[in-house]
Amino acid sequence: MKYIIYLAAILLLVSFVNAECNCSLGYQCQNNACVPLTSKCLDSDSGQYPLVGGLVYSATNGVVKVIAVDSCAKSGTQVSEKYCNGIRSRSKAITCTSGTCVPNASTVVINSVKYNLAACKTSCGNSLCDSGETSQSCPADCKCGNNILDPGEQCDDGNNVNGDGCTINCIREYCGDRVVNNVNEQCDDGNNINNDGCSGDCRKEFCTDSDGGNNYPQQGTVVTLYSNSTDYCIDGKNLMEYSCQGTNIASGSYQCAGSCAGGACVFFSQNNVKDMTKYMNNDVFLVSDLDWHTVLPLVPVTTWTGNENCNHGYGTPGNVCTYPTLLYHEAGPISTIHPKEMWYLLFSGGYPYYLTNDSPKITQEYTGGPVSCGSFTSFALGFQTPMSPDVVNVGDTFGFNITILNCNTTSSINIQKISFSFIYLSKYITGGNIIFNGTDGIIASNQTKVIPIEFRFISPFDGGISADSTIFFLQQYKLDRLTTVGKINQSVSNLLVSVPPVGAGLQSSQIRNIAQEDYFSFWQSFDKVVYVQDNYELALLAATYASLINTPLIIQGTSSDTSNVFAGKNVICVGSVSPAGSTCSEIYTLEQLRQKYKQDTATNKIILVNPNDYAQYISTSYYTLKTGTVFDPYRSTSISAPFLAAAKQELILSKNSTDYLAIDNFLKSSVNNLYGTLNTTLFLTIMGAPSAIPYRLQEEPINGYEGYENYRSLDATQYADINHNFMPDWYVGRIQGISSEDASSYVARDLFHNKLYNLIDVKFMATSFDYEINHAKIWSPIFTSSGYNSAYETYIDYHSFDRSSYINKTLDVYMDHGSYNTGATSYGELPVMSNTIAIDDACSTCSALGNEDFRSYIYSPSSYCARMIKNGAMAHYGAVSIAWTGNQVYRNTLNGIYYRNEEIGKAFVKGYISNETYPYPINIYWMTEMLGDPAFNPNPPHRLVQILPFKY
Amino acid sequence: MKKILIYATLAILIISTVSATDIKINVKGSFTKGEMISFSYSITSAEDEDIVYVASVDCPGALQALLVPVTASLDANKPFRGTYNFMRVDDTFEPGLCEAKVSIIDYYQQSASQSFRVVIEPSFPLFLKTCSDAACSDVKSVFVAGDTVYIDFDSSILPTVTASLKKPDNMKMQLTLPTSIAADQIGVYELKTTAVKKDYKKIEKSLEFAVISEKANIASESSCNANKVCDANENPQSCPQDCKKEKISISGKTIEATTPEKPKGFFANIIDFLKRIFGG
Repeated sequence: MKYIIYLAAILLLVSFVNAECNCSLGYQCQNNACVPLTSKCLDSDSGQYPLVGGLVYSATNGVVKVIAVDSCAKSGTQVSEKYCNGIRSRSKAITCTSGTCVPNASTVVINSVKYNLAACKTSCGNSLCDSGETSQSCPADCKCGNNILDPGEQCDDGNNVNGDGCTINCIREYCGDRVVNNVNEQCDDGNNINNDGCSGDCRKEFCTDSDGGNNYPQQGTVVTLYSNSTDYCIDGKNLMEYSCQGTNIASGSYQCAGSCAGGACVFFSQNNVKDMTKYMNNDVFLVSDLDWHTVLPLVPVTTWTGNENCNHGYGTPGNVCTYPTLLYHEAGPISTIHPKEMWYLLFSGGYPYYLTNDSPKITQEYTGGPVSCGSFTSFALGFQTPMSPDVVNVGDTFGFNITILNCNTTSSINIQKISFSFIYLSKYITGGNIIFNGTDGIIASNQTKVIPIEFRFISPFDGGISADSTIFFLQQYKLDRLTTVGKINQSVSNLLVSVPPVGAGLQSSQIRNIAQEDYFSFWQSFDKVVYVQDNYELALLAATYASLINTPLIIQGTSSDTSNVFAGKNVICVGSVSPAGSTCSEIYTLEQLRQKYKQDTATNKIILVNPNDYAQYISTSYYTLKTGTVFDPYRSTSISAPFLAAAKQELILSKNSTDYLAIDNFLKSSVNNLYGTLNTTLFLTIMGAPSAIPYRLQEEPINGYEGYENYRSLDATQYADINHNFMPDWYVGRIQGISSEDASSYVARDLFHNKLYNLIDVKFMATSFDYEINHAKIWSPIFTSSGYNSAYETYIDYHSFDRSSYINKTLDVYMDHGSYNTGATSYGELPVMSNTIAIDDACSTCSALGNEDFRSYIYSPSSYCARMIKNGAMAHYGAVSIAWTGNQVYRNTLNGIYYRNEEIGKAFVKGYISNETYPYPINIYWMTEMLGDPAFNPNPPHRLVQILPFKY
Repeated sequence: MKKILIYATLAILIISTVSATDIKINVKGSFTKGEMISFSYSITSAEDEDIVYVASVDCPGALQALLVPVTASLDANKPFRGTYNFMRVDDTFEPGLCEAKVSIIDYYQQSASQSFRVVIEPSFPLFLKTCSDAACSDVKSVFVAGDTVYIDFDSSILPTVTASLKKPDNMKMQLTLPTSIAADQIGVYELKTTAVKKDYKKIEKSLEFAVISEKANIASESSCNANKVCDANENPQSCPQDCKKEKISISGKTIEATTPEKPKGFFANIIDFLKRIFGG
């Protein structure tokens, strides 16, 4: 009885609140207005009321996150009642007086997820339409359809047919009742007003724009419920552009940069035309990334907007010409070294004197063990652990102590006669000055002496080159000719002509070399040039813009910066420049050029870079497959951005910062400035390693889950999350390898995907977890029946898979244990793949930092994640740290790509925000990261015949 | 009144103590190769409640298992028991201290952990390299016929490294590194190595390198050298840096003409231009 009173009170309260404000969950009524709530624990049934199905949730500014729902317990005789105790959700089992708990006593839909709410059975069913019961809440007692207007019925037409003015639940139907009643109603917003999303006669209002918005280079038609409008040229210069504003048509005139024709702007000057005799259809360009002044002017040479009969890219606009452009990586001279990371010294000619290893600073011997006297001629020492100082710059000195044992049992020796040479990696340092304690260099027979040694770092050393990814692309692209630009390292040249799998297998006759100065010869004519200040950040965007309008790019202070070049030309100036003997016809700041580029292209694709990554060195090294050690991992990914941006007409946003909050704030404010809103469909490509554009780190515990905080340090839930609800809003992906050439090669594989390997082999690998093993067994046959050569391999216990599992696969799925450097196999064993979609439903396989401590700030080249693009993946999905079972992001992404034929970023984000989760409807556990161009659509060779099921 | 307050406080304290959940972990002190790492645990609550908890093992540097949230209905003061199996100790493990952990994550948070040790041989880094010099500072993977190929490795310890080298003609030879060979066959060489050191794991690595008949010689097609002189093979279109287009007027018509900046003067260019048009 007490419960019934409570229930009545709650119902009264709810109906009162609803009548006043009609607030949805997460809001409360204040002064006749719905005000968003913020609380860590709220209870929809306001306490422990077993007759009412309720749920416990948190709210942040009205955004609801379900924590727990009332459920049945103890064989259906109890309700597990969820309630709030302060900010904590608690549970209490309450026995139903009716003896029966109904698991779906009521339902509620929150964030598109339907929740069944359990409650004890009430008096419904006693054949009386009791007070509080209605034909909806208790149809057994309140007979709807008996042609008698019972209590709680709005109508009763005596039938069980909807759409005839009275529902089967005896609710009156009409346009404006907020219910879509019948086939004649497409919507019902509760009013009869037009232009609010639903017309006065309940037809759904819509607006579609065939060119996707203010897309000036493309003619589009806007269609609404009421009318159609097509873009048209007002005159030869001005365009009338139509777009959607909500479900209405918006219009505005736009002055084209070039001319207006066919209802669209033509951006490139008609006088800027390429000399197509300089190109072959399957040309490829190759340049060192050492000097950006050489690289960036190449952007409009190899990619431009124009009408020429030229080569086109995959997924690029129809009027974009593009040729693969590869940047092999040259670290160049490095003037800062990290002794503990890389230094090995060889001491030779030491007979018969021995170095001993008891010096506290000599921690490991590289060869030999000077523990007893004997015959040897040399050994080396390697330094791995603390040296002081950690960093040495050109001109600095540093030193350590060694202990020398005189093995001669009869006579003393003069230490000055010992020959110390520094052979191994000796080019980094030249000579070492041996400094003695005092002036005495004499060591008595059979005695040891501690000798302080000082070294001086006198010149920069060569940081090495990397061309693994370059060769990987050339091995699979059937090119006519390779054009190398500027000086090409001889080792790289030799790789070009060497046979696969080591080299690219080209004939010398297929390769030509041009100088940077030859860039102008690629134009048949041009009347415009883009002239940019000697500033890398400005030049990144200026190069993209030069490509858009098909003009040469001239960088201030380079050999092209002459009055001859500017004479008679329209000079478009970017930054603070003044063309010699000429004047600027247009002047742009960085921000203005961003606006201009966005306006001209109407792009919905953004590339985020940190321009400082060109100068950034990480204090470690990595081994390449083909060219030895490189000493600047994770540097200069941004240099590849203009090639992707130019080809797909994407906007480069640059922020010189490694503070994720500063970057995020910049990104959001930039998008807001450019688009007028954050609520826009965007593809966001982050081009940079975490060292340049970091993941969020050291996050506070999520919902107080101490120990599992991690770590929601993801692109999807930071940079692509506009309302901070830990859900992505933009289609996001990150392009990074270990060096810039990995990103460059990836961009080439992205843009020419249709000309590369076209494989149908699929491999599923699952161990340890029953549901993962089941998925491998269930999903693989679905791929097989869809036309793929699919296989699966499963083990009950953890199993390290053979590297061949990754070779020649279009899709590779691994589901099990993982670590920062291990997926199905270790990073060192990961072979070169074949433009594979690689999925690793395993812990830390996309660890933010590639280190065993994902909360540290150490960037390790041993990162499994960073190796994926380097080793030939087109997309990689992995976990940032410890991951939870039941993560459906992977399954949903597979369905997006292979069933719905979506771009990899779209499939990922839609999969991420899907609420089909287990065991909780809370997505806070998911921490999946995607590497790859989010706008890349693999267009798989076969579409799945059915959606992959998820069975936990 | 004061007494009542003290009692009330004590009562609250007692209730809080009683309400605390007790998590106990039982794990043996060490695990060796081949053993399944597992531990048992019990969770005891002072009241009937439903909880969600996670059991896990954390070995720094080792693989991590997916976390499995488990729902349990606890009866007051009655231990809820369970066992967690992680994985068998295999070569992916390094020796070190690990942690067995049980964490209640819903509807409140509480954790307990217990350390144990993994006893196994450590691995060591091994990087193979082929070089053109004995000190192996010039690392490359393509050599020219007749070169000496130095085959070496980097490691933080001194392992014994033996190798099998398959030459382009498929003949195999056994090597001990470091060593050198003559690049006497054109094609790809495959090197498979095994590195051993007492008290360490065995490491196997492979490497490929190639020998070409002669070093790559890429022909230059440059038509502009940007030396501010309009050379014979340069013109204003291909090399505007050096060759200037100037507008000159002949018989009332404006014509663009190439004007090298040096060494010719303006009139010399006009004469050249007229010669090109009219011959002679």
